[in-house]
This record gives sequence, structure tokens and C-alpha cells, in this order.
Amino acid sequence: MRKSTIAFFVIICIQLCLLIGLLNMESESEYTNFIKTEKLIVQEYNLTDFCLSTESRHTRHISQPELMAPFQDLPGFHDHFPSSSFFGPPDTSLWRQDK
Amino acid sequence: MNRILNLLDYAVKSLLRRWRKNTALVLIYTLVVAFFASVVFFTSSLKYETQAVLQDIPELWLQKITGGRLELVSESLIDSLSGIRGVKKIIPRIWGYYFDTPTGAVFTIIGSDLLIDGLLVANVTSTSSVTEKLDSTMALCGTGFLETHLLETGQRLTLIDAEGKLRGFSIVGAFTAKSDLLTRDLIILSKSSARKILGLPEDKVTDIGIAVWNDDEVDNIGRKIDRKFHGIRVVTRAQLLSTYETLFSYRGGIFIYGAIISLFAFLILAWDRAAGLSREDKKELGILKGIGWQINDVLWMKFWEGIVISLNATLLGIIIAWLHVFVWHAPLLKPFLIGWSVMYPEYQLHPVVDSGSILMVFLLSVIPYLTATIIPAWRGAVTDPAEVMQNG
Repeated sequence: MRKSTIAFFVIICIQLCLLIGLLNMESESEYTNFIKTEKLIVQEYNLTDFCLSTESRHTRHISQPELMAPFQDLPGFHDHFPSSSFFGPPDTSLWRQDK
Repeated sequence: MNRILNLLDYAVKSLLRRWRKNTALVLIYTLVVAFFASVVFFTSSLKYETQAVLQDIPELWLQKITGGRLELVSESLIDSLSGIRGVKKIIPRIWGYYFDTPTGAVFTIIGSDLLIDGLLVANVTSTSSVTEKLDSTMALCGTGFLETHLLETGQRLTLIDAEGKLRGFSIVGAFTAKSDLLTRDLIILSKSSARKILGLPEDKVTDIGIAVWNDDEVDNIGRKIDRKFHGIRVVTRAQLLSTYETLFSYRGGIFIYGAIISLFAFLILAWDRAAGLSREDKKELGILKGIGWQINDVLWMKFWEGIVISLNATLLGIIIAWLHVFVWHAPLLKPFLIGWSVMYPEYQLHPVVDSGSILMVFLLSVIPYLTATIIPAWRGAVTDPAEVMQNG
């Protein structure tokens, strides 16, 4: 095998090793403990939403706001760009209960 | 095997001959893959965390709606709800928003009494005043309030209640930054204090959580409650989880934005490759055919060229994306989700990515590029070598 081919395989191997190292950066037990802690906080305080953005009601508690919440603070809710672009109003069709 | 290795060797040397052009190509390719993989890792991590953490919350959530707006729920409803067969526990919640005039930030106030004992288990720093009850002079804070007010555990915080009076609380505990994704903007007060700050009458609560005995009965009980009481909305846990699933999955939200931008960038790159071979490339193919190379040799050589470039760019892109999201905390993606608020959640993401996501990045990166490389090579390889060399 020639030098250039060996160099190619060596580079790929280094990258793969680096990737595998990164994939195992956090142990499973660490993550399990972290999730356990978060679950405890959620249960103690009865939390339903994640603090991804504090920009507006409908982005802070995305599962809780009134369906028109995105449009209540300002018409067009452009004061909440860009977080509103990602969150959007909830899918109301999923929330309707069959009478 | 020897033939394949020789072709690989030729492909590597051929790439090294035009190293400037190919380095630039790998660099752009890497950045495109890194952006796309960052979005995949970012959304995967948040999706796993939200689904894992929220899976044990009460199965039903009841809210009162008047004229399309959320209203306070009367406490008398609790008795009526507890009479419904299959209901295990009724959990009335007291919570609301607090606009903090000095900083301009909005905090979430939660009313809860029995907390500190549990919190110590929850890796939360606390002072020596460990009790099982949070009394009306105590408060627990997320890192947001402490940082914006330059406070520490043990110091006092002052809030203005609904009547405009100043109320002081002693900070008996604070959440660690690890739980920022849940607790960044929280201020936990006793129920009576939370009522005063939020202006909630004694006979009202913000909303109600309902735990049920049998998971299979959740929809039935939800429908029953919906039929029995008017002007309410019942949200099931499954619906709540699907809101997050939608936000972070292929169906919408941030993933789609990231994917569209990356795919456009990649299409431009692939189109540039597929648009045709340069004069030099055609000449090279003509000479190779002239000295006896077969069409499949040329295709193999081009395949190896594509593999060398795409494999390197994809692996490098994934490594950069990993570092970007899990080591540097996604500085290029997080601002879009956080928005332009006063208080920015500084949550850290945990490296949880399934092999399917990595495979998807590989498939979307390597296969289109190989296709875009081999098709023009095949077109060049089937042309007459004499014609190519004469025109070249």
C-alpha cells in the first residue's frame, strides 16, 4: 500500500476515534442521574414546560397558553421574532376533545 | 483488492494535485454538514430531554377559557372532579408571571409549600434552614433572578404584590445552573405568598392537574370532564408531549429551518459539481481512456475521489457540530430559539444522539455528493478519448 492511501486511512481513523470519544463524552449513569433530578423538580413543582425562551407567554409555556396567545401581545407578534418563528401557536386540531 | 487500492491511491494523488481547490471544497462541504448536524444534535438532545422528563407528569391538565383567554379556575371544581371515577389525584396549581420592573425581565412565580426536603435530593444548593415546609417568608430561585439581581442564597429578595406593596423574602435555596432548562426563570414562594404576589383570590387556582389510575382511560376521562364542565379545555399529557415532539422533530419548528438552509446550500454545491466537468477534467479522462483505462476504472476512481472528500467532510462536520452543540453550547443556534428577551436561558445540552440521526447525516451528505460526482464522470468517460484530446 502506498503512502497516500495509508495517510487517507489514518486520517479517517483519527476522525472516527475522535467521534467515538465525543459520543462517549458523558456516561449513561450521569445522564440518568440528571434526568432523575429533572423529573423530581418537575414532580415537586408540577411543571409542564421547559424554559427555552422567556420572550413571551406562548414561548415560555408552549403547551399552556390560550390558543390566541401568540397574537395577543402585539398584532403579528413581530416583537417576538425570532423565537415565535420556531414555536408558533399549538396545533389546535390535536387539542379538541370529541363531544 | 490490489486494483481497488491502486485506484484509491490514484484518486488521492489526483486530489492532492489540485489541493487548493479540493481543500476549499472540503471546507465548504464541512461547514454545510456541520450546520445541518448541529440542528440534528440540538433538536435530538432537547427532544429526548423533554420526552424523558415530562413522561411522569399528571395525565390531564384542565384550564378555564373565557372568550378565548385563560381564566382562573374555581377551587370548587376540585370536589366535582374528584368524584369522577378513575381520578387518582387532583393537583391544583398556583402560578403566574411577574414583570420585574428594575430589570424588565418576566419571571414565573410558582406557589408550593412542601419542597425543601425534596430539593436537597434534587441537587439544589440550600442554606442551613432546612425544613419540610416553605413558609411565607421564604423563597427559592432559579439562576435567572439571582444573576439579574446579583443575589446569592441567604440574601433577601423583594417583590411587589398585586396591591403595590413591597414584600421581602429570604432566599433559602437556589437551583443549580444544571437545571436551567426547567428552572431558569422560576421563583418558588409559599402558596399564600404566591397568591398575594399574583393577586389570586383565595378560592381560585391557575389550573388543575389530574392524575388518573389507568393510562388507557386518560382519553375517556378527558372527554367525560370536557362534556361535564363548560368553558374549560382539557389537555392530555400525550398532547402536551406531542407539542414538544412537533417542535423538535421533522414535522416542524427549528429542525425544518435548519434542514432547509443546509439542503439549499448542499444542493448548490452538488449542482456545481453535477453541472459538468472542467476542460482539465475532460482532458484527464480522455488521456486515461487513451492509455487503456476502462469506463468502470474511471468510475471507480471518481467514486474514490468522492469518498475521500465526502467522508472527510462529513466526519469533520459531525465533529464540529458535536463540539458546537455540546461543548460550546450551540452559540449559533440557541439565539434563534431564545429570542430577544431580557433574560436568556443558559441551558446546557446533554449529548444524547441516536445512531439513526448520525446515519441520516451520513446518508444526506455522502450519497448526494457521490451521485453528483459520478454522473458527470460517467458522461465524460463514455465520450471518445480522441475527440476529447483534440478539442482539449
